[in-house]
Amino acid sequence: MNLKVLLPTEILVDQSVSKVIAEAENGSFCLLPRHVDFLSALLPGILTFVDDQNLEHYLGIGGGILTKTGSEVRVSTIYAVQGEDLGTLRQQVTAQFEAINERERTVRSAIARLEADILRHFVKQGITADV
Amino acid sequence: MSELPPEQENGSEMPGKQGHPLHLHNRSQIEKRIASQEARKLKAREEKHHTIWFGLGMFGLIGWSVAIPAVIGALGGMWIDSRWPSRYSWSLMLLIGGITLGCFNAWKWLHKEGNVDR
Repeated sequence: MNLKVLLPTEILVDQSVSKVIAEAENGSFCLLPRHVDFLSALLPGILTFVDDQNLEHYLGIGGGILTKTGSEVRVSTIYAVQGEDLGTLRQQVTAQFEAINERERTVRSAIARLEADILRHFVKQGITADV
Repeated sequence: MSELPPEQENGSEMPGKQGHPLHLHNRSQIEKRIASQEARKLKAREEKHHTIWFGLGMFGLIGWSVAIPAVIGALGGMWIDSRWPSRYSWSLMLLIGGITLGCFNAWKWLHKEGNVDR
């Protein structure tokens, strides 16, 4: 069974797995290779998958849609982070959100500067209401 | 096409899900949910080993708490019988007494431990 986790900007995970555990509105579920095709909306939380070496991996995801078609499991989500281990997943999520916040602040201040600049130009040109 | 006015059409949106899913409010939601699930999974992982030991310990404790008084009772009874022989078999009486005491002990202990989920 192949798991693909699709983000708007990248494909985070694309590997063969033996088991996927995720949480939908009505509780957690587990997908195995020979299960019937499946479609579900996921809640924000942890998606667990087991790879061919029988190692568990953990993804923090912010909701999304999971489809299983044959041996292909696809998860489309707006936000996902792959945790090294259960203990560090939360810190990674926090760190990523901090980075996003920082970026947003930078963008906002840049836009404010642009606006102020344009207004200053207009004022310098002496644009008045009689135009 | 429905004849609903537009404000009614998008009035079906769930509260707390407006706008971009990565807005600040939703972000903290995501973070909170991930954190709580992580904590739960970690706890479950620890409990796995813990339960085995806990179970073995409980089994052992119950077994011993019945066996030790019974053996002590039997030995004490045999010793009394060898020192002061009488019409009554002290070894039997003390053996039964020991088993009763042990059972009572175990029952009391289980009762105390069983209150965890209540």
